[in-house]
Amino acid sequence: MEKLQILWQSTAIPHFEMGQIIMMLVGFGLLYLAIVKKFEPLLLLPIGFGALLTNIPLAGFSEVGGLLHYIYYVGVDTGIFPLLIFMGVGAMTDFGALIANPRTLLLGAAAQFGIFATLFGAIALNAVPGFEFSLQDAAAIAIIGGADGPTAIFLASKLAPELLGAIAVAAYSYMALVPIIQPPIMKALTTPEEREIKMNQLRVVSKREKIIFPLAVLFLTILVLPSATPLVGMFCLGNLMKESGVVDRLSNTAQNELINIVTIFLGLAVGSKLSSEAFLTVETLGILGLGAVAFSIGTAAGVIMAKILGKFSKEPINPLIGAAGVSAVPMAARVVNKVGLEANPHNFLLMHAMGPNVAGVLGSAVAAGILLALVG
Amino acid sequence: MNTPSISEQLLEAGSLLVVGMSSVFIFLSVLIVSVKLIAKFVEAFPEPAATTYATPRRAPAASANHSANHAVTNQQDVITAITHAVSAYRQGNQPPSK
Repeated sequence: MEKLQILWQSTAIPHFEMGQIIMMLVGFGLLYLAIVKKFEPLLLLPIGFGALLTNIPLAGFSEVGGLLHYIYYVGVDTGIFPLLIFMGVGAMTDFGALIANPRTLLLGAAAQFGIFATLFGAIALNAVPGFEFSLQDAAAIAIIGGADGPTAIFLASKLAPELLGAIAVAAYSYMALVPIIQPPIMKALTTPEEREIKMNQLRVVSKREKIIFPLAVLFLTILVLPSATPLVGMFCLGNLMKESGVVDRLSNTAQNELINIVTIFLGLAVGSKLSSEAFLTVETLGILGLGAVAFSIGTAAGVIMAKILGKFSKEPINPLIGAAGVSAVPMAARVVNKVGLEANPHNFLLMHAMGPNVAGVLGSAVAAGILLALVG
Repeated sequence: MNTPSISEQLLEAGSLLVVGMSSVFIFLSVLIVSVKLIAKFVEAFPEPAATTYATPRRAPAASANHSANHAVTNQQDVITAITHAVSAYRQGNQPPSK
């Protein structure tokens, strides 16, 4: 009888807590979103599975000695995984559209308004009982508005590691929801005539410009904003490997094998942060809400900036491309293209939207550096 | 641990908003200027081979709409050129006794 008791105690069933069951359901929910709805499956699948693993009673995945504990410790706690991903993203990014039309950098800058406005909003939420966000927490939450997964994880791991799970899940979920969140805002802020504006063909950008560009960005960051150099530096390294054309093997590895390997581990590590005590809080609801606000404000600010720019510019600027300023490469640019085609079936905005789109990546990395320097 | 009042925190968040947005704008504006300078620099010191990079990359994008027609005529051009070359070659050197 006693042996039976021991055997019973060694199964998971008597040890399940309510919180763990709920978090496993959250994990299943994420798997469902990834597999059935195809929402950012590359990340939500490992995150969802990580959430399952970390909530298994007795297995101790996320305790000292457990697999997920070490993956998190090695990659996310140190900030290495998001930076490696950023290098891969750099190796995949073509700055041609941005170099051909550098003014679109202003659109990428305007869209970062979502980040700083949300920071304000997160602090304002403290007036509601139950919320207690420090300035660090608020900054980490606000970066969701940068619509850049690795940047959000990097900043959260530095400023508010206890909120990392919720922030990463919110960031990637909203990135998947870009095609749903953005179009209504874009249409509300523009008239049909503005959406039909055709833009001039972009000039051809020489290879040398593309090689000098990442070096110039890095040089500028070193001078002005050293706190952003981890992100910008890895990004520029990846980009230089691609554009220089002399290390195709490294460039291919960075944008394929390496980024895939790191994505698996990053997803698992983020999933390991989805434990009931960290996730099942009223703050998570606040983070999810603030994330949506951040996205919407960023989109609106980008579109408004594009309208202002269009007023002063000799060349026509379609205000829709401002919405691509919230990075989320290349999804946001595709959304711009789609909304533009709805207004005028012969107006292809994709290449024009890629400019503000990659500018948004730089912009959110710069914003992250500023937040690190001011709040960290 | 003393927690600052909400109004103090809001003031700090507000100043972060102003400082943060202006530094993002300043940084990216400086970048705009430098991109333009780079373009000027590259224009001023053209690389002899620089133009050859541009043309093949542009060709597929520019001719995407009528690529089918172009491809056909291009191929015919190539075929005629090869036929001419082969016949010229054959006339020049007849195959040895056969």
